[in-house]
Amino acid sequence: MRDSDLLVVIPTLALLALAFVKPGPQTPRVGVAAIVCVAIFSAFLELRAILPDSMLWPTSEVARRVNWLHDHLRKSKDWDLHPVIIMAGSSATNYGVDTDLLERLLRERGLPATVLSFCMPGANHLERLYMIESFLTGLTAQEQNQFAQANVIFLGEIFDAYDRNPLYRIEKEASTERAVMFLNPKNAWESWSAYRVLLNENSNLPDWSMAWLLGEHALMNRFAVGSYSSMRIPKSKKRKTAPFFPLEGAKSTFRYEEAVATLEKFEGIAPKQNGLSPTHPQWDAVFSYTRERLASVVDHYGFYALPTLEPSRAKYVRAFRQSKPDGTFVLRSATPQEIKSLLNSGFWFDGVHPTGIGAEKFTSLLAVELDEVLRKEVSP
Amino acid sequence: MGLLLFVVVICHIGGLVLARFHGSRKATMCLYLFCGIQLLLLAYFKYTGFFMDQLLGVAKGFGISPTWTTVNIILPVGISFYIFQAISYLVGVFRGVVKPEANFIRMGVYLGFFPHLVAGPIIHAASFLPQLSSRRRFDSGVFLEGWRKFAIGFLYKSVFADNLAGPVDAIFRDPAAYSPISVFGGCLGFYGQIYFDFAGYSLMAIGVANMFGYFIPDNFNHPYRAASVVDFWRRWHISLSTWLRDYLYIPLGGNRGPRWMVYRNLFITMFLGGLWHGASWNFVVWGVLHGMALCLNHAWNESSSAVRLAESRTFKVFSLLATQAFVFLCWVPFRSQSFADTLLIFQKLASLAASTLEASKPFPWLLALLPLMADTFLVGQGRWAWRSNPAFYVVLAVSFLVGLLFMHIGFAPFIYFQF
Repeated sequence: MRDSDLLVVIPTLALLALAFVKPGPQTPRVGVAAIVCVAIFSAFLELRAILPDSMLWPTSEVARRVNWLHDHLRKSKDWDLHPVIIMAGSSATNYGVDTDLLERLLRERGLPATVLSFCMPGANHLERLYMIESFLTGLTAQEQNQFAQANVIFLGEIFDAYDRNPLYRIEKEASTERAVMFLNPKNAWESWSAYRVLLNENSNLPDWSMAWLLGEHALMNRFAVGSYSSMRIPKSKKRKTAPFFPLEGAKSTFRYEEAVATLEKFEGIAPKQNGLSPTHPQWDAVFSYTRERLASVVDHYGFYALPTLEPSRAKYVRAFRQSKPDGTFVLRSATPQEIKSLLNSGFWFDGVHPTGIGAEKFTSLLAVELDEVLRKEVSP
Repeated sequence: MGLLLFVVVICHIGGLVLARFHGSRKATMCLYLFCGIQLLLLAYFKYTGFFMDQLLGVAKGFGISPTWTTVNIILPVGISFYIFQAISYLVGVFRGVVKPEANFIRMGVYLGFFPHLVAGPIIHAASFLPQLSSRRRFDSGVFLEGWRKFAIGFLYKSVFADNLAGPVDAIFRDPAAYSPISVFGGCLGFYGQIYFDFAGYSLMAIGVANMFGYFIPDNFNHPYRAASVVDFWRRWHISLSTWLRDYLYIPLGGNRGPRWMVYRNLFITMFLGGLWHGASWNFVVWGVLHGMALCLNHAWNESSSAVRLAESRTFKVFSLLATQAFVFLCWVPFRSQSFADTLLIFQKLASLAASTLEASKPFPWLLALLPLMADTFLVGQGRWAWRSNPAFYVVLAVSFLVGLLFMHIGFAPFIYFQF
């Protein structure tokens, strides 16, 4: 019996049990029923907390990507002698940066580097961190030691939707097979720790709002069932492993001409400076937490923004640049001339994500931007 | 909300006025007036767009280009359900079987009782209003029975119906892109989805009502066990079929009069029942098909052959299969996006015999079949039950956990919200 079959059988058995198991001769008690519910729920959570993640989510999308990155690192020659770039981002990077191409372009510029992309469509900041930590803990002791010695650069994607709400996209699509488990007590505590900073800083926020957010997140993650959540996805569906996926065509709702017109209008009227508030306090808290968690590994922290046709995104990148955290760098964004060179309907899947051809252009731009920074700011 | 309040006000005043003129000619006039207002509201919100659309089509057919455009009126959630309940109350008061409700709040609770507000079941005033005024005492047995019903409904809706929705939607969105076997899978999936979706909502509504100490009658009784179309309508959306019987079929004449009048009444009732589901020719076709089938079924029941074959086991199996095949096919126009799609799907189903399994795109066949078969052939048979309090508590808890673990994440609205 396949996994997907089992996923139908279990709820069906639960249905039959509900139909056939009736209360005994004594009147059932609501209080006892509630206690049993809480006990079973707690036992379930405890069980999940005890078991190692690799056992719970062996075939999840996260696990497959992490495995791919392990292989990639091990295949990279002398990786510990060159910079290792950890990219943490969302679908924008997942579909927009071809990491193999980026490595090749950097090598051609005389800057050999290993690029590890911890990017996944819809992945919020905590999920990206989870992927990075899963990767690090999966390395051998020797590799971990080498990693600590290497010149590691953390590159975070600048994206307003995720930065303003680090728990962005709490509703997980079944098809993403998300394997992040915030209701696992261990991970729930970690999320809470990340937010505690915010609570201390902003006394206007009542505690319950955070509890509500986390609770909702936990429920929406369906107790982190990860790979077991894709009951409706046929087994034959192609499994994603590599960190880059080229998109084809254009989104049905995307109107390229309108997007370009809006962007040009914005560029025409918007001054360089704007009154937008910089990074969100929640983002600050999560970034501090990320820094704390990766302190022993990462040497430099930087940020990048991929080209976009959405004015609000471009506006946010400018605001972000003005208030970047201390001790970090921001790669320069694409210049107006570079953006102009990207104005081709064949390059855009939608206002944020490029097609495969667009991704090549994005990657080339990123290589140029990285070149400037790698030479100046992050030499070991 | 404003509309619901308006309906409550009309219903409240209407009930008091009808009681005052009870038995007189004025009462009849008032009944027409108050029910007319309710039906006008329903017609405006539900059918104006459709009617204008058709008129525009006809005008264009005659070469006239009207200057108006079709209006897009947002359908208030649950309107079809609470207006039917309002009519049930008004007619009940008129007939003298329901006492007029003097308390405005109780009237509001009757029409807007939250568990079933958006998609039924349609509660009859005679059974629900007395519960609102009687003193209630907490009964843990009733509470837990409500919990159990809610848990079953939760599995129906969130696990079975919602997980089926994705593959089914994909096939009905573009049936031309799928092979006959895949289209058959999609139809089979919808056959299960609509049952689990609507029965799930009803069970959850009934369960929540039970937890509050109220009783709402069952809305489904394993309709896919029905061995005739008549039997199917006694098991499917029971509250609607009962309403249609009491407030449409019987006032039209019911079983009285010559046979052709009975069939006419049945046909009109099902035609309007189909239209109640939505302003679309697809629903009309669905209602007409069921109306015709009910007429044929009644005619058959009166024949000598029916009496002769009544005890035949083979015939019972044949009847079950034939009925369910008919119900299955009728869901096609109900779910299709257009009449053209309906025809295309029927064409694909007709060529099913020539199709091979290899030609099908991946489809969750087990999900489409197993829960449905378990529910149809095992649940509610009453042959045996394991009675134990501890086991009952554990089953409740584990079922909820299983429901939460396997439920579909994302937006999958109840199908009957649109009605």
